Amino acid sequence: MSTNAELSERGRRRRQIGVVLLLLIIWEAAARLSGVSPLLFPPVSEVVRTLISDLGRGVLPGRIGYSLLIVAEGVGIGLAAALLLSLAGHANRHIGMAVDTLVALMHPLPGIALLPIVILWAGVGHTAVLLIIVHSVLWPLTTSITAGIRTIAQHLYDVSRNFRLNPARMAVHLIVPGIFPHMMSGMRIGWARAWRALIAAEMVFGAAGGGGGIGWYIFQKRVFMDTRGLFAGILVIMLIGILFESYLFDAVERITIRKWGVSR
Amino acid sequence: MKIFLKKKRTAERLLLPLLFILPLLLPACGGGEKGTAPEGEEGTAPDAGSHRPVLTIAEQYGLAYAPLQIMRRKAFLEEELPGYRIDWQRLGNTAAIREAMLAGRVDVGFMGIPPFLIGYDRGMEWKIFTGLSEAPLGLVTWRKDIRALTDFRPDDRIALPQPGSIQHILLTMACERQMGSAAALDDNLVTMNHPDGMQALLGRRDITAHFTSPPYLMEELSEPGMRQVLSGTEAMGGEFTFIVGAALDRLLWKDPAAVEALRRALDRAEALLRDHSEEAVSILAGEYDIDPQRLRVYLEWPGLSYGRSVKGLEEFISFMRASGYLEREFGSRDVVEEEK
Repeated sequence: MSTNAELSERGRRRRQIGVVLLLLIIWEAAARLSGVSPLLFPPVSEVVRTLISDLGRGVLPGRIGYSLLIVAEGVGIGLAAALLLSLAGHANRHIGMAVDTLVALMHPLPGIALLPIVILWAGVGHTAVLLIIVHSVLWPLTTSITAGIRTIAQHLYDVSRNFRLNPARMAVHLIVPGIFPHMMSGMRIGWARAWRALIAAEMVFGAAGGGGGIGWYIFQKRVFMDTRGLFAGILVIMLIGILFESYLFDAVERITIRKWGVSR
Repeated sequence: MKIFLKKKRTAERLLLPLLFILPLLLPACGGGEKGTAPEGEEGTAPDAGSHRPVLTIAEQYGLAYAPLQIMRRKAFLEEELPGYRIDWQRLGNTAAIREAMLAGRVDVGFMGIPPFLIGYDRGMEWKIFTGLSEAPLGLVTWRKDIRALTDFRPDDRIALPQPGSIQHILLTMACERQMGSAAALDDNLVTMNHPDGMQALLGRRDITAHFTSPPYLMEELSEPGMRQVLSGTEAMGGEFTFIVGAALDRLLWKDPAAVEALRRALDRAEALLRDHSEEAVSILAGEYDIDPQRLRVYLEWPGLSYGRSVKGLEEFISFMRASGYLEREFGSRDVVEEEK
């Protein structure tokens, strides 16, 4: 029952895995044969061993969980705020212009550049990291959601008005499915920016209190000169990035917008 | 003709970016040779321009590094080691010094004993060739309710440079002695460099206490309401050397004369410092941008002294091994390059 598209998709995945395996073999061989100190460039097998032992001891799962939770929190707040901003902009032309200007001003600003000010206002720790993440997510999401609302054809609004849909049902049946593809692409950008901002922020001021994410894990590995751990941390960041960007978002899109038929 | 033109355009498209990128790459390649000490006959690399050997020394900021600043300003090392070009680098933290030495960019680095030991334990080929200074270290707080380590509550925060730093190890030593567990306060720690930590402490909001060293310690303690909860010597249970000089084995084997010259230059700088001479004070006041009067008070602060002996090494090794910071078996003799 598999279609051609699915087959070619599977072939592409298989080739990707082949490339990754090849890279790992080259890494292992280069590290073992070059005679470079493992403190500078450890073989991948030792990195994986450190990775597994840190996963087993519960160090890494805790760090990963902390990072993902705080990103989820930030993306959630960012999404709610972005919806609010863009809906308000849709409802009122003046607000819309103000939001556009705000986005134009804030969108190009990297979160990490705000860090010193955020520390002044919110101190170090959870709130500061959260603010940086919300900042990284809010503006790209607002842009995409606003674009999404604008692309819903006027006649669909007219039709739904003819059906006398109240604003709530209009939101559920027209606006949400209509903006979803845009929101998803905004989420992709927002997530990517949030994830990078989080790692950067954690590496600047480390952990506060007992908590600390994957950036803090790398920082600790650095100060204790555990190069294998450094590489392990980087691998984890890559894996999580791939997991989200090429699997999770695809899955969400499959069960939503493709099913609703708004996008293929 | 048309085809020819098209081809040319493709070639241009490829060549133009290359032309921009090449000049960027070239100096980067050249920089790789500067200041390193590859497997030459001598321990140090020849200076690209004049073929003079280069000795690269890394230091950090703080009053404990004063002999190095005197040595540099008075050109003592240049006198003791003629024919060499001396390259000074001030790096932000010990991890950066260690990494630069591991990469072969720096020959000699100055740092606290614990970060040196962690590097040695992980396989860095280097040794302590001199002590530099003893200094008062202290945990300072503004909170009146905190009189001892046991008064810290779970949501109180203690700022210090980084895990594995001498401040962190001293705090864990005191924790073990006074609270029964070396890691008792590990969840309270916040990593901050000294200037940021001082700002945060003086803000009297986020940071409950700051474990720091001179001159930050003196500046914090001269603020009204600031008190010291714990001193470095209390934590250690004795005297210890704060900053030591470490040299790569490669330099120690291949160019022992350079190391000897460095020791002589340090002796001269420390002699100038010990009697708090006008000259030393005026050099340092400029370096730290501190009022000379105040600097003189700092230099006479109890516990601050300069000298080349190394104290407390064995205590650090045994404590750090017992609490899991060191894994390999070695003693103080293995990590010190004795003078001949």
